[in-house]
Amino acid sequence: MWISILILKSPEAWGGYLAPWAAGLLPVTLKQAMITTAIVDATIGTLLLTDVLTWLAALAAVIHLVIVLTVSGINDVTVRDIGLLGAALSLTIDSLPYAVKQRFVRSH
Amino acid sequence: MDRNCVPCEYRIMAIPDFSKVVLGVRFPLLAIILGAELLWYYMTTFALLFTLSAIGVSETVYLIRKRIALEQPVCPIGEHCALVLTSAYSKIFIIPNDVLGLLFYIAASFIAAFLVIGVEPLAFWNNIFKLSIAIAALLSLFFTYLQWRVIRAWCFWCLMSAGTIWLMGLILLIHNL
Repeated sequence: MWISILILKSPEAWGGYLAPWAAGLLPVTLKQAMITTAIVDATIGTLLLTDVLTWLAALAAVIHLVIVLTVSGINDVTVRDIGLLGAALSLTIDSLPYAVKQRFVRSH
Repeated sequence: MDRNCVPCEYRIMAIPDFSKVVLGVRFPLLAIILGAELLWYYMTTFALLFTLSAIGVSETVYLIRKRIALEQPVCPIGEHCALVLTSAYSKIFIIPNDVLGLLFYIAASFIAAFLVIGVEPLAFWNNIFKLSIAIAALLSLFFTYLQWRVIRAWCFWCLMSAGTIWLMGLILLIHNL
């Protein structure tokens, strides 16, 4: 959520983390893409904080972090992002609805 | 170190030389460093305040959800959370304290965000921020006194919320010194 505020403060600067090849693929301007990212980040953060649709928010965080790792390349904060990805993945699995979990659990 | 090579010279230049800073030769460099430090200090203060507000939101939402579901919250330390949370002092008029807390934390996180993004009028947000934290800190002091002397039971969540607000006040106080 804090990162979303920082992105909203200066979206163009945060767009610098985007690899040039990824920036070229954007269907919208870099600023619009970064503002959308900030809104997604804030939504995920709010849902996780309030424990509402946790599995969905955690899944969105996993997808978001995979995209971030793909488009930003290796930099100083890659290790942190990998750690966050692990945490988000763990939370997704842990908070899956009971019916979904049962499909993956074998009955002995 | 070879002082004649260009990269080495560049590295030496990058280190602020305070004797030359006094003479003003490297003043722009110092100004950039100080500016960056001030920005970092400013951002860190609001990052901390925002994080504490987020913790408060999470805590109060948990308490509200438990209250609505008519369930007792987990009491990690002590056994008297339910006693305090269902006491006569758990509301101000008709508004439960957890709702008031949630409103405060949401407002605090929004104001911290406004101050960082630069939403005008900044002076107004700044004053409201200080005032709301001061009022919340005093109310927390009062509620802690009630637990200690009147209800004679301690509630982990109430103390955590009070601690969060006092910490916010302390950070704001240090920031304004």
